[in-house]
Amino acid sequence: MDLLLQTLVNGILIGGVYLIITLGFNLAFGVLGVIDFAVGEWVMLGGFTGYWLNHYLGLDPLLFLPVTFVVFVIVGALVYPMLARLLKGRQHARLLMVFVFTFGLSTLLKGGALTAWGFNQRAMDSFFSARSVELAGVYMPQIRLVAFFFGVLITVAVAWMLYRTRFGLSVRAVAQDEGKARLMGVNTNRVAALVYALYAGLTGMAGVLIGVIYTVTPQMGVQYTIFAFFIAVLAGLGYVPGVLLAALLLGLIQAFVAVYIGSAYSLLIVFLSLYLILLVAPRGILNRGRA
Amino acid sequence: MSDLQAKDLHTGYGRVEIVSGVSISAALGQVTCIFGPNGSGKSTLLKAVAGAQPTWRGDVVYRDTSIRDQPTEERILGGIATMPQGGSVFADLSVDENLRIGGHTIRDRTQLRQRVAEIYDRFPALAKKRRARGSDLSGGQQMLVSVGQLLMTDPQFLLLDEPSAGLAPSVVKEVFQMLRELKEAGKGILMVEQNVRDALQIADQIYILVQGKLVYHAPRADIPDLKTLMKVYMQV
Amino acid sequence: MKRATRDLCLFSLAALIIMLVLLFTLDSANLRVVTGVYMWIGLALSWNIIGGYTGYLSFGHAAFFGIGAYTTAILVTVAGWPFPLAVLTGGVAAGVLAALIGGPTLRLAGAYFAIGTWAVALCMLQLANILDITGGAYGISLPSLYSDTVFYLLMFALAWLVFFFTWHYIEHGSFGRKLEALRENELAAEMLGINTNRQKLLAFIVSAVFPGLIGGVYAGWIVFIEPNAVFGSNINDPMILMTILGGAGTVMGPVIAAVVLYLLNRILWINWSADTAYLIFLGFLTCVVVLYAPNGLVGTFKAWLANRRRSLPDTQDDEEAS
Ligand SMILES: Nc1ncnc2c1ncn2[C@@H]1O[C@H](COP(=O)(O)OP(=O)(O)OP(=O)(O)O)[C@@H](O)[C@H]1O
Ligand SMILES: [Mg+2]
Repeated sequence: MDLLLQTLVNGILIGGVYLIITLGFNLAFGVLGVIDFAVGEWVMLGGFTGYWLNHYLGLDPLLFLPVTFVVFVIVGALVYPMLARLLKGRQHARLLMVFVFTFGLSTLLKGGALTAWGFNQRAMDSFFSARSVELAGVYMPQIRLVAFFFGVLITVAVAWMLYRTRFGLSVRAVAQDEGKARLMGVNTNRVAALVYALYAGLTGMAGVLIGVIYTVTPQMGVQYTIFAFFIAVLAGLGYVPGVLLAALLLGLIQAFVAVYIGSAYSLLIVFLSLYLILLVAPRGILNRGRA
Repeated sequence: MSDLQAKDLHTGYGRVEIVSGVSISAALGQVTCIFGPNGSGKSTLLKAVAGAQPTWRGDVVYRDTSIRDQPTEERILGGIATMPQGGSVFADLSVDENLRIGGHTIRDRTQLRQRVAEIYDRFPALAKKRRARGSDLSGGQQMLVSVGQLLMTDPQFLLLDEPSAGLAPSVVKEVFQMLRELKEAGKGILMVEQNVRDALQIADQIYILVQGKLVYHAPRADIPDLKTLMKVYMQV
Repeated sequence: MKRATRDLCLFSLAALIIMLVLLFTLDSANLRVVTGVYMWIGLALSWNIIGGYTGYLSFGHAAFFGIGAYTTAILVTVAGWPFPLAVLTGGVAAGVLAALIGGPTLRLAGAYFAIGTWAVALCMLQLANILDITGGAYGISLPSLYSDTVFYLLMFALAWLVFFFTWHYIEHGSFGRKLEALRENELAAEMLGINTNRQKLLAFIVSAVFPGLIGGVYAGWIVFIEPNAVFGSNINDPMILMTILGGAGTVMGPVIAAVVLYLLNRILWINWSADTAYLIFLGFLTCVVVLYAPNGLVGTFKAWLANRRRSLPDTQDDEEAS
């Protein structure tokens, strides 16, 4: 019983971090129609940003979350014009070309990071790292709790932005029908640029959290790319509320497989279920995404 | 007299030119109708006037100044609002949100709220549905929301792309009655229609577009009845 | 003799001569480099069949390479099969895997197909890591069966085989015309009476069998395989990027890109022992090519040639159109 509860809590806690990545990822897909293969590399680079700032400045890596956010918002704003150029292109299969572009970008970023920093894993410590709290026999590392609550905070903030602000309304409108939104006077290009920048910023921050919980290495990206795909497909691509459920599900699947089947099977099961969901329910388990 | 004009306008998609050198003019207090067979480029022309489609060559003139390089947003602020083909209701937004996005160019929150309230006053049927999703509305209700979105910014000119398409006959009558009232209130209406019979009742100027070229233009007064127009239509 | 056949013979003859000259002049280290070049030509051309001509971007072709390599390794070491038979079985295994997943996966369009195939390759990678028969993360060591020269010849033969197939059946055959028709517009191709499901499945299987064979030969050549080395991104990604850089849906594009990029890889490795910098080049070139020459280098060159020929008699024509 204790083990079950512990596993449940582990799954939920890490799911909170996945939320940060996939909220932005799915939002960007909804607005741009772009599946960003480089998502995991933004996580990786975010992790390294936190690591190096921590390394040279010595402050707690969590304090660098806002800086990382700003840095990656800028990075996203710089990458977006290239995506926009491709999206406006005239050749058919534009979206597929964008996908290939982000694939090239991810190869470039991974190669750059490997060349600069090698294959080593690097760890960074936060104030919360070595502590834990125990509640009803369930043991919770503080850093994971902090990361989870940060994920919840981000989710609330994004939801507030989407459902309570003028900008959020225009984001939802563009995601549904860009042509109509443009006729209403929405500057769709600006909305898309801001959403992409926001997504990059969120993903970079998630990298810091993941880096503190585990470690950072230039090779870590691929895993988070597949996680983002998994959650987004499960949620229904472009359907943002579904992300809440899907991110928790991924966390739970990983936790339960690790405890009850063996952690070696964890990735296999994630990949296999991604494949099966794509085939069986391409619009996500809630059937609300775009196929 | 002519407040909104397209002058020798060329536009298209990709490399394909769809509209080739069309000139039309529309005036305040008048209904200007564009007829034409499917695929002749009517919607494309309207989008170019609205700013949702780049003008390749030629000009769009509003109140004697060129607006061809203005984005849609500025054209709306200048008083030109557009309803696309099929209406402008967002299926996943509530009626309230649909109206607010219709007034996207209004930055002031209080003013926006006030405008929404005015639309509800005007269309009480919508007030009862403010929380309903766009996709849950009937065809007639969706049309009301579309018109509501259009009127949010209190525009001078209304560009409408087939406002009566797919509606029940009784609703069609209401729509044209509404348009007539708007015209009498001094608004300018530039409209694409397939429903020539009903459109003719309120039209002041008639244009016919075929394969991206203007083939006919006459004031309503010069056309005695539907039959005459149909004859012209058949010839081109 | 038809022109296409004549060109094929001439090209094959030239390739044969170059291959023999290199065989007799190069030392063994460089011979291994050229063996690698052949391997990548074969892989890029195989990927080109489904990714280039058919327009279905498979992001999981390492699955076929890997299954070929593992099948061969297991049959040779565990069952004691003769190497050639093991390699052939590896090719069959790759084809069977493609046939099994092809039906459902090819129903996915665009990036969804890419993600689906990627997931399959990652599953295979994980399976190889977990199963006992594959030796898990420790991999499998094979006996050293033949000399480097034999593997040099085998890789050349395989690369030539893919080239021949591409040239004869796709670039100049009705199979290729069907594939290109369905790439441009699947619905329209269906209307023309092309059984698109069947054709694309066929293309997928063919483009999987060759990497399966190549993977088998690779296993014998390199004598040690482990999951990441045959199912990982170092096999998976260059196939895609080489083809797109050179020109997806052209014969020469993938060939040229494979030669240039693999040599670049080796130069970086030999001089700076930096094969990660190779990824920077691959990624950067891909971004640039996708942005500025989305048809790849050869594809863009061909379009430029065609454009020039068309606009020579009347240069005004082109300006009007744009
Ligand atoms: N977004 C687009 N991209 C490419 N071609 C388009 C696009 N929209 C329309 N077209 C093409 O442009 C031509 C004119 O389309 P348009 O919608 O302007 O015609 P229309 O006169 O409004 O027809 P209908 O009466 O059917 O609404 C058609 O051949 C159509 O296929
Ligand atoms: Mg139309």
